[in-house]
Amino acid sequence: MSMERTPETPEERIVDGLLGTFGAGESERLERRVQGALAAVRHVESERRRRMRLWRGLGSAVGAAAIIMITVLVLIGHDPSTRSAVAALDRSLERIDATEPTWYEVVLGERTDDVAAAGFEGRACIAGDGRFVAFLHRPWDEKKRSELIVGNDGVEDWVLPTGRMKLPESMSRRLFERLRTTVASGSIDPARILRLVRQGWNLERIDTERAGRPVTRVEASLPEGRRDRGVIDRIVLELDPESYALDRLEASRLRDGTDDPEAYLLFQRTDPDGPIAGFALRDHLRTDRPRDPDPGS
Amino acid sequence: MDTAFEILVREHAAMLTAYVRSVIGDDNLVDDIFQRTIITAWRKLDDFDTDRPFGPWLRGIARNHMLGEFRSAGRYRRRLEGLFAERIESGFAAVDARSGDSYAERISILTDCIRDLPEPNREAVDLVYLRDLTRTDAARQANLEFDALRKRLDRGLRLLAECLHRKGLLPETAA
Repeated sequence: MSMERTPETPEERIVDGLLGTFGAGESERLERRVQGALAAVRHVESERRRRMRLWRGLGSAVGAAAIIMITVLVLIGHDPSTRSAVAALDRSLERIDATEPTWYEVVLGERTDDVAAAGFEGRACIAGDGRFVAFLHRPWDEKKRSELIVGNDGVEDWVLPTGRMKLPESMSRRLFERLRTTVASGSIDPARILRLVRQGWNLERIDTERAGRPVTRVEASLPEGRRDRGVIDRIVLELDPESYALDRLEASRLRDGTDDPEAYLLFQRTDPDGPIAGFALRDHLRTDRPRDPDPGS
Repeated sequence: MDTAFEILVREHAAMLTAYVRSVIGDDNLVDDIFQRTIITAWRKLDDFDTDRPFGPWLRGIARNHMLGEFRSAGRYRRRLEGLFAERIESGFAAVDARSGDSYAERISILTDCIRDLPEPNREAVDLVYLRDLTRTDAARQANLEFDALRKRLDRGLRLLAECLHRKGLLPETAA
C-alpha cells in the first residue's frame, strides 16, 4: 500500500486530489464508489433493524452470557467495520463481566507462565469445577502470535489459535486435535468457537429450514488468501433462531478444494432439550459428505 | 435509506474522493475510506447540525478515518495531522466557497490552468491524470525515462497549484 502520494506540498496534494476526479474513467468509478457505499449503508441499516427486532425477541434470555456472546457475534458478523465489531465484542464482554461473577482478570497457572511472560494479557473464566478459559491478547504483530485462547479442560492445559495467528502446519494440526477433543467433551461452548473466528473470517448468516424447523445458519470461512494459517478454514454453526441454542457445528477445510476428512467434524446435541454444551461426536472422518451438506438431510 | 441522504452523498462524492485522494495514493484504500466515511455519516446523521454545511462535516469524518488508518505509522501520522491542520482542509474549504452548482463547475478553473501549462508538463498531466495511464506507461508513451516523466509531472502539479492560487481557487495560506 502506498501511503504517500508523489506530491510533497499540501497544495500539490490538493491539486493531485482534484485532478484525480478528472480521469477518463472517473465518472464510472465514482458511480461505482457511490453505489458501493450506499449499498453498504443499506446493509448496515437493515442489520440495525434486524438487531433491534432480535433484541426485542430475546427478552429475558439476555441474562445468559453465552447467548449474549453468540447474539453479538452473529449480529456483528455482517458489520463491515472490524473496529466496530471489536468494540461491540468488548462491550458484550463488559456486560458479561458485570453479570457473571465467574469472570476475572486473567489468572495463569504455572504451566502457562510462559504465555504471560511473552506479554499477553486478557481475562479468564473460571468454572465451578476448576476448568478455566482465558482470552489473551497483545498488540497486533504480523510475525508473532497476537491472540491466544488458553484453557484447562480438567485434565491438561490447551491452547487454541485464532484467525489472526500464523502457525506452522504441524502446530495447527495439534491445536485442531485439541479443539476437537475439547468440543467433543462439551467443555467449550459455541461462543468460544465464534470467538475463534472473530478476527478476519468471513461470516455469513443464512436463515433457512431443517426438517420443517427454522434454523439460523452461520458460516464462517477464512478468506482464500489466508487459508494457510491453520487446519480449519471453515466453521458452520446452526442455531435455533429463538434461543440461539446450537444445533449443529461443523469444522472443515476448504483450501484443498475438497473437505478434508481428517478435518471434518459434525457434532450434534445428544439431548434436544439439554444444555448447549451437551454435544457428542456423531459423525467423524466421514468421507462421503458433500462440502455443503444439505440442511434438510 | 433516506433519499435526502443519498442525494447528499451523490452531491459530495466527487469532493470527498478528491479530498481522500489528496492524502492517500492507493485506489483501493480510497474506496475503503470513502465507504467507511459514508457509513459513519449515516450512523451519526442525528448528530449533524443541519445549520452547517454537509461537506466539511463529511471531510471531518474522512479525516478521522484516514488518521485512524495510519494510527501505527507514527511519524507519517504526525505529518498527516500537520497537513490537515495547516492546508488541506482550508484548500477544500476554498473550493466549497466557490460559486457553481456542481463540483465540476467549482473546479472548472483547473481546466484553464491545465491548458496554460507548458507543453511538456501539460502532456505529463494529461497522460497520467486525464488518460489514466500508469506513470510507467505514461513515460513509455511520452518516450521518456520514468524519472523524467516524474519530474515533468511534479513541476506540472507545482505550476497548477500556483495557477489555482493566482485565480483564487486555493486560499492565501495554501500557496
